[in-house]
Amino acid sequence: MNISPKNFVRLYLLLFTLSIYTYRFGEVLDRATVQYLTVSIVNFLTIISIPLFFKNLNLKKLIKDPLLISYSGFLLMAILSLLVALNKVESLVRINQLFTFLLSLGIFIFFLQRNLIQLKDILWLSAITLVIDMSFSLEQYVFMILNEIPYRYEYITNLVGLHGNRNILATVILFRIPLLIILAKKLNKNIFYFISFLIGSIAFFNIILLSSRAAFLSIGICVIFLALISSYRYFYTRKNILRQNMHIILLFILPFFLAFQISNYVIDKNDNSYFTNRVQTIVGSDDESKNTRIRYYSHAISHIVKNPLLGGGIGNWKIYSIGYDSKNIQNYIVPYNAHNDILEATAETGLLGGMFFLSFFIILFLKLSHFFKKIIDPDNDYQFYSLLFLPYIIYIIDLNLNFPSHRPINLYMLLLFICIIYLNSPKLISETK
Amino acid sequence: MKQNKNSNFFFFIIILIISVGALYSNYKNFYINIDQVKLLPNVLYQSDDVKDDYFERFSVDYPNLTATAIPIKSLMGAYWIQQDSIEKGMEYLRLGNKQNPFIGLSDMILANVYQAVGELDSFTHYSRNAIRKLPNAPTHYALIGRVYVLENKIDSLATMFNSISNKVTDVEVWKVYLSAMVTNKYKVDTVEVNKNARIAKELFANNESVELLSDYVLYGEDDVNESIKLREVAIDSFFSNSRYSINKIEKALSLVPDNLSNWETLIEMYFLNDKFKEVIEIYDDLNRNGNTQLKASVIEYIIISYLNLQDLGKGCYLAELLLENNVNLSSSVLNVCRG
Repeated sequence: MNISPKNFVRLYLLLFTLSIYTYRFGEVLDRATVQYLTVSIVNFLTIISIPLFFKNLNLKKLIKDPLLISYSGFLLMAILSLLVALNKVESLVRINQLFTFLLSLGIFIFFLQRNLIQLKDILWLSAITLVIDMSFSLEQYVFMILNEIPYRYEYITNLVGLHGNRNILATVILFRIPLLIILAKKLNKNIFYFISFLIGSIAFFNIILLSSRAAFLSIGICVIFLALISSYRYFYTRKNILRQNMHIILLFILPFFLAFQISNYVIDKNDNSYFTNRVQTIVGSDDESKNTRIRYYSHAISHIVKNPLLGGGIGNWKIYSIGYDSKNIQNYIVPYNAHNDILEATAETGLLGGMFFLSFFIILFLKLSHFFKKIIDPDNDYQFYSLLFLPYIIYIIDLNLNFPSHRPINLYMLLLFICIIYLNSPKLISETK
Repeated sequence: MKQNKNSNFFFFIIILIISVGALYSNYKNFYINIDQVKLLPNVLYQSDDVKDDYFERFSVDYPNLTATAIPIKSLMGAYWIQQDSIEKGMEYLRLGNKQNPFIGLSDMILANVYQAVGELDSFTHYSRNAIRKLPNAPTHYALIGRVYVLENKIDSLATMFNSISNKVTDVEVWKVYLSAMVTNKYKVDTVEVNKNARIAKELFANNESVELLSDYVLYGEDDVNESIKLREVAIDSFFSNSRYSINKIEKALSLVPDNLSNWETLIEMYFLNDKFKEVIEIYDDLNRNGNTQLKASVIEYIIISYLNLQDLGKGCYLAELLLENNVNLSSSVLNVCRG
């Protein structure tokens, strides 16, 4: 059987997705370990198959890609940090996880440079996995409804579905809502607009049930961004602001308000999971979770100040954080992450390593910033380019409040997003040619 | 062109080697993640569903920390000590300390081992290490508490207790403190110790050992032990000589006045002797002193006593409270109170 390079790439995308949504394999403690293993199996199989499908590899072109360069720089600093690592074995474990992501990124860019990845494939994968995630999460909620059990904050853990915790799930759901709208716009049929509205509303409702404040904050900032960008567009084009934002209003804003109204109806207003109560804790000063994060950040900054050159060694923050937070630890439950990947990367690999890590996201932003010009061009699909910014905003907020760089599901989303950016910037791909 | 081909081949080989390395590392990480699921119950709950030879083959080197940053070697050390392989276990514990020197789990286990074998210097050394690393871990406080008792530094123990009990509500912390105070309360602020003993009784109302230790602190070991004996005699003799029995339980209460179990027994004894007025008097006294955490069965005796004294208002009010808390009441009470 002959497989064309395009189908080979489709097969890779499918296997990569399946490796993220893989079976849990019995009693494994951390699902991420299974995902890293299956992703590395898929990477290995793809790498050994590539010479069979591509005669001219031209890897020089590949290694000139700025995203790959910045991530390789971070990895190099991570390897150098082995010299100072307290626990070198844990450093090696983490370095190999970083390599797993680097290889996946390299494979994606290799395919993108050959125009073998289709935008619609990526958008469909995003939409299908969104529905899968929501189904596994809301299955338990449906069970509660059928058994007339009123929803309460204590039941949130029942809704984490396929993922380790509610913050991860809420973020990855939110991340894909703009991509779902882009898919509907690409398909451009009323039925798909309606389905997008329906899935979007359920997705927002799912996020509200999960009560993840990082996701709520992201929604708020996305809305502010959309308001600013549409004003910016209006300033240049003087076109009707409502008509210009029709899809965003109907498929992003309206589903959110619908979900909000439904949540007000189904969640007791005295319960912690009630949307308004949850949002109030974001701005409150006595919230334990918020204060804990601030404490973790100050620990990471202290560590960076003391170890600016090579940090404490990649993969070793989980050890050092115990020393810093010892007075607050009871029963061996340790901080593990700094809840800010930029600070954690810098604390582990030093200032230069942190700068390389940060530069990865700055390069991504620079690629995105090209779309600003398209936003003010009256001939361009302004909503499409505006929506492209939202997953980036959501990811960056998550990066600053949680630890997406450690979670294969978040990294998978990031790779899908990178594909979408590259596919809409042919010039950016040709730059590396 | 040929140079280009060679460099491509070179890069490809490097990428291939990296991918094999990453695959192997991720496989090891995955494998040890599954092994942890078997190791943890064996260490924490001493279940023995897995044979020793499984742990002989257990990979402890890559990765060497669990999903919660605990050194796997420390857990293996704990496992082998439980299996009486002390030397092997201690070696693992020392190695575990190097892999995560901040968590103090190895120190905690080593301190316990050294105490068990009577090497008090080493016990003190590792206990201090443990508490220095995680000062608010209740298990570490339990260790340092024993060290302070050994060194007769009761004021240090009390100071540390005040600091840790404000942050952690853990029964072990209170047990160590109360045990130490049974014989040492006059060496520190006695008023504060008595206050803490009363707080402990409220905080761990259903914990028998905390109640006993608190009573020891408040009333002294001799009186508490005498009161326990009197209670046993009272219960054994009730059906043959109820007056004698009531007298004994009242004596027990004179020795340990706030023993709720004895008050409940006294209520039951008066009730079974149809002395409803006395039942209500005791209940009123308990209410005045704030002792209101009575068992549902005892409250039902009080309800029936009220009803027999024709005080339907108070009896039915208590009955409603029990019904609201899903307690089943006898039909005689329900007939009177709910018509």
